[in-house]
Formats: sequence, C-alpha cells, structure tokens
Amino acid sequence: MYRYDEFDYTLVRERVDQFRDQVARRLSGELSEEEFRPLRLMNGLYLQLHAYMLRVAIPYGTLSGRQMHRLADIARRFDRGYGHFTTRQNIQYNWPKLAEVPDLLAELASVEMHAIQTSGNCIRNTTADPYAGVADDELEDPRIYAELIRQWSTFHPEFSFLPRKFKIAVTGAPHDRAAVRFHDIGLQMRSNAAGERGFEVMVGGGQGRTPVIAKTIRAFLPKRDLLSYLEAILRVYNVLGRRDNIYKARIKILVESTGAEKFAALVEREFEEIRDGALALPAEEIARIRAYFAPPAYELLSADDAGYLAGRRADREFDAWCRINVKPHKQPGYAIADISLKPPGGIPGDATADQMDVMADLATRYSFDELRVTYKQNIVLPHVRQSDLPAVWRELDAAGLATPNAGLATDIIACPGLDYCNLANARSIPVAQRISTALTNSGRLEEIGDLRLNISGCINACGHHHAAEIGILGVDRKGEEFYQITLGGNPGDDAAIGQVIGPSFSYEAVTGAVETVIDTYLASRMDGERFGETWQRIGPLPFKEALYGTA
Amino acid sequence: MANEIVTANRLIDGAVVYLTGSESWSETIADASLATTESQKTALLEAAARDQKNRIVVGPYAMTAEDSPLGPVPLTQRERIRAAGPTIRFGPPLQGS
Repeated sequence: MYRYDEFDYTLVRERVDQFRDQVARRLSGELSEEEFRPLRLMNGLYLQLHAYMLRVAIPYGTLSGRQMHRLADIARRFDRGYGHFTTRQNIQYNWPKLAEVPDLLAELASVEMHAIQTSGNCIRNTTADPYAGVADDELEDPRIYAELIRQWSTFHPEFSFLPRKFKIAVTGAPHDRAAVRFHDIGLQMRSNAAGERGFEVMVGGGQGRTPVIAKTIRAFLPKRDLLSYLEAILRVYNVLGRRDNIYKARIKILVESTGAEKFAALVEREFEEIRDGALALPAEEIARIRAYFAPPAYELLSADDAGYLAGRRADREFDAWCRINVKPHKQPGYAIADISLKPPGGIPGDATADQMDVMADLATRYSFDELRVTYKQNIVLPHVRQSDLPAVWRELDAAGLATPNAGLATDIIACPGLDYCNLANARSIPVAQRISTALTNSGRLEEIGDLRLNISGCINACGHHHAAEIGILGVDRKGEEFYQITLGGNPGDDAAIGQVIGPSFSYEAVTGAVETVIDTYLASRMDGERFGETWQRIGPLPFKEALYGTA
Repeated sequence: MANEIVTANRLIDGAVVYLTGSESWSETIADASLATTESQKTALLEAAARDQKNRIVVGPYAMTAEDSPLGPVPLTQRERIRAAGPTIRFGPPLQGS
C-alpha cells in the first residue's frame, strides 16, 4: 500500500491545523456562515438534513486494517457507532459535531487519512477497480496511476476552483469494474500494436440530471504522458466550462456542446505545449510508485485447496457464499472475498463500528492487512488463502457480514436519500430495504442471478440509477414520494443509460412494480441471458404491458 | 396566511432546532412557536436572524405547520423526517432509533 512521505504528512497535518483555526474563528464569530461554508466544504464537511456530515476520502478505495480500526474508533467516539460506505469508495459519518471535527480530522491524520478532495469544485478522490492488483484479468494495478493522479491533483492551484466537481476513475483491466464511462474522465489500460501499455482516455461521462456515456478522445495514451494529458483536459475544461449555470457546468456538457472531436483537438493542442514538461512521467517515477503496490508475499500454493473444496461440499451456506461472493485471484490458492454490506432488509453501505473492527481484524489476519471499498458500497478482502475462507466466512457470518448476494438483485446501490440528505426528494433506503426483503423472501435470488438494481432519491443520481438494469428514481409529487423506474442501464463494458419505462409508482407500489419487472424478465429470458441482454432483445413493450396493462 | 414555524440547524452540532415562544431553540418541534399572522412570523424570523448572527443557529427559515393538540406538526414528508429523524433503524442494535 502507499505510505505517506514527509510531504504528505506535512500537507495533511497543516490542513488539520488550518481547519481547527477556521472552526474556532467560526465559533467565535470572526467568520460568518457565508465565509465558513466554502472552507468546511473544502474539508468534506456538509450540513445535511439532521446534522453535519463528514465525507472521508479512501483513495482508490484501498485501506489497511489499522485504518479501518480507526474508522471504527471514530464512529464510536465522534458519531453514533456506524458509518456509511459510498459509491465514491469513501465513508461518510452522519452525526459529527462541528466543534469536534478538528479532533476527528486529527485522528484520521494519525493513520494517513483525511477528508481532502471529497467536496467542492476540485478534482475529487480518484476511484479505481476494487479488485486492483488481484484480478486475474488485469494488465497492471490501476492504483499506481490513481496515486500519481492523487499526488498531481491534491491542492493543484490551477484546478482548485473548477466550474464544477471533477471525477476520475481508473481501471487496469479489460473488464470494467469501475464504471469508467460514467466519470468526467475514465482511464482504461490498453495495449497497443507494439505491445506497450497505455490508457484509453474517455471524457465527459456522468450521471445526474443529464446522464452521458463518456467519449473516447484518445484510443492509446502512453503512460509517460498520463499527467500531461490530464492537465491538458483540465485546462481546456477550466477555460471553456460554463460557470454561469450550475446544471451546465460539468465537462460532459462542454464535450457535448463542443463535439468530442473538436474537444479532443483542443486537448491535443494544449497537450503538445506541455507534453515534455514537468509532468512527463519517467519510467523511474512510475516504478517508484509501483513499488508501493508490490504484491504481498504470497505463499506458493496449489490452485484448488483440498480443505477448502471439502468445506464447500460439507456446508451448503458456506458453499453458497463461495459461489457468489468469492472471486478468482491471480495468485493460485488465493481468493478475493466480497463482504456484502447488503444484508436482507439492511441499509446498503452501512456498517457498525463493531463490524468495521471485525473486517479490520480479518484483513490483518487473513488478507495481508488490506481491504477495499467498492463503488457498489461493499468491502473486499483482496488476498485470502482459499484454505482460510472457512474461518473468514464463520467470523463474517457471526458479525452479520456473510450475506451471499454479491452482484445479485439485493446487492442494491442506494444513496442516503431523504432520510439524511438535504437535496433528496424521496427516501431511498427504505425502498431498498423493502425490495431486498421481498426478493430475499421470494427465495429466487440465485435463480434471478446477477442483476444491477440501483436507487437514487433525487435527479442528482448519487445512487447510480441511470447505470442500473433496474433503476429507481425518487421524485416529489406535491410533497409525496413517488418512484420512476428506468430499465436497461449498464455501468460496465457496454455502458448504457436506462430508459424511463412509464409513469412513476407510489412508495407503497414500487416494490411490487420491481417484482413485476423481474417476473417479466424471467418469463422472457433465454439461457444465460442477463437482464440487460433480455431487455436489448425484447425491448420495453413487454415490461410496459406487465406494469401498466395493454390499454 | 398558512401557519408557520421557524426552524434552523444549531451551529455547534448541526442539530435540527425550532424557535420557541420564549425565543429559545428546542430540538422538539412541539415546542415551536406557531405564527398565525404576518407580524408574528416577522418577529420570529427577526429573532432567528439575530440568533444566526449570535452564532447559535445556521440557515433559519419559516416552514408551514399545522396546529395539533400536541403542538405544531409539519406538512411535508421532508419536514416530517427532519423533525423526527431518519425513518429507518440505523447504527448498532442498541443505539438505533
């Protein structure tokens, strides 16, 4: 894992001291709320529906057991004993007190953590494939480049006041697990004809009220040019992005209005000016950062551990968890274990402090002290020996963390919604809970198979409903909650935006409507078809008929 | 005029608070002072603005409410949730609401 150098330490500590002073000046009246608001937002501190909310950065979703323990301590000491893992691979605390936030940030700093780049119109915390470094299809660990982007972007003076927030996602694998086409910039590692590695650069993706799939503006960018090229994109955006209308300020609007080709030409022109400048990445610098992400000291093991396989035959519940939540690891005899934060009827992404401690302990004992946060709001133990899986599963199960539903229909992404959020129009969490309960009780989860179901409580789409096979969007109709259903979205390789299927449903009716959609899919699907594939083949009509009748 | 009460977040901890008849702030909406005339509402908002300046609260605003035997109750789902807290059980089992 990346370890702070003296610059990182200094930067984070100075930021804590600075914010401590700003909070003191706010409480003494030296700073008004208007003056203080942008300062607190630069430190990830929002004022939400019931309380302040602090968003803590987990760069590219990687953290150590020690860091996870500290997140648990903070949840107990400064909050109400839990936290919420987000679609940005971060964690949010829902009840911190303003006067205590400087102490909270100091606790974070002691384990190389902070809340920088989690708010405001800057380059936000870069996200990455949660299976970085361990996926068997990966070309290179994307965290090397995500970390280089972090070092380049943190407090970048030119890009601290962009027209709007800016999100970058990186994957090092041909199969996209980071939804890169739904980011302001998506980077996907590719090989060129000469066998060299570089990045496909995609720009202008995003969700919100104007969902757009990113356009490729460079099919292959050499690694040495990564930061210079990103700088060129940001410069073009910083100059030409709209600052007069918050709804048109994201780069996706600029790329759409300029045209991807012309936008690419503008970027290339800027890039030519700076490509051999200070941002060029020599191989030695990439190697220096790569060393931080060197694989742990794996044991040489055989591919299919006999004890593990016997354990699976002996226990059906353990076998189900392995079948659904355990993924192949590039190192023989090891596995990637998905920890679901989506128990039946639970709150997607929430974990109690005790659960965080359990996960941290398991990471220390069984996963080379490493954990990942996924944008699907789950946790990953990235390097578990197959022979340790039974023990890991038993401890997870005892802590309510062994739900076998990774990727299934109850692995729901949901934003905090009107239960917490100032911007929301409708609740998301209880809708997710009702759907999760209904689908679990139906006993058909595995029969339904992999299905992406996401819920947002407003058009800002933090719950990724546009990118879901079944998306749910909460809307306000005269003070009452209603829910629109979109179908056919896809976050990954064949990225697609879901289509609205018809008029919205009441809070009471939306669970039944989702069940109807799933029944329609099951009745029509051919062998092995995912929901999205059936949708592509049969189109919206059968779903409309089932939901609204033929009249 | 629709009946209105004045609400804000407390500066120091962000808690949702309501302006009471004695010009203090309460975490309980039932304690809120219900303005039934424009002049009452103006007086409440003036008191709230003063307390914002005095660093007691942040972002005060007037919201419609209905009188009931138990005190004012909110009319929209948003304000109902804001007054009562999240509608879900959250956090560790013993601490959840």
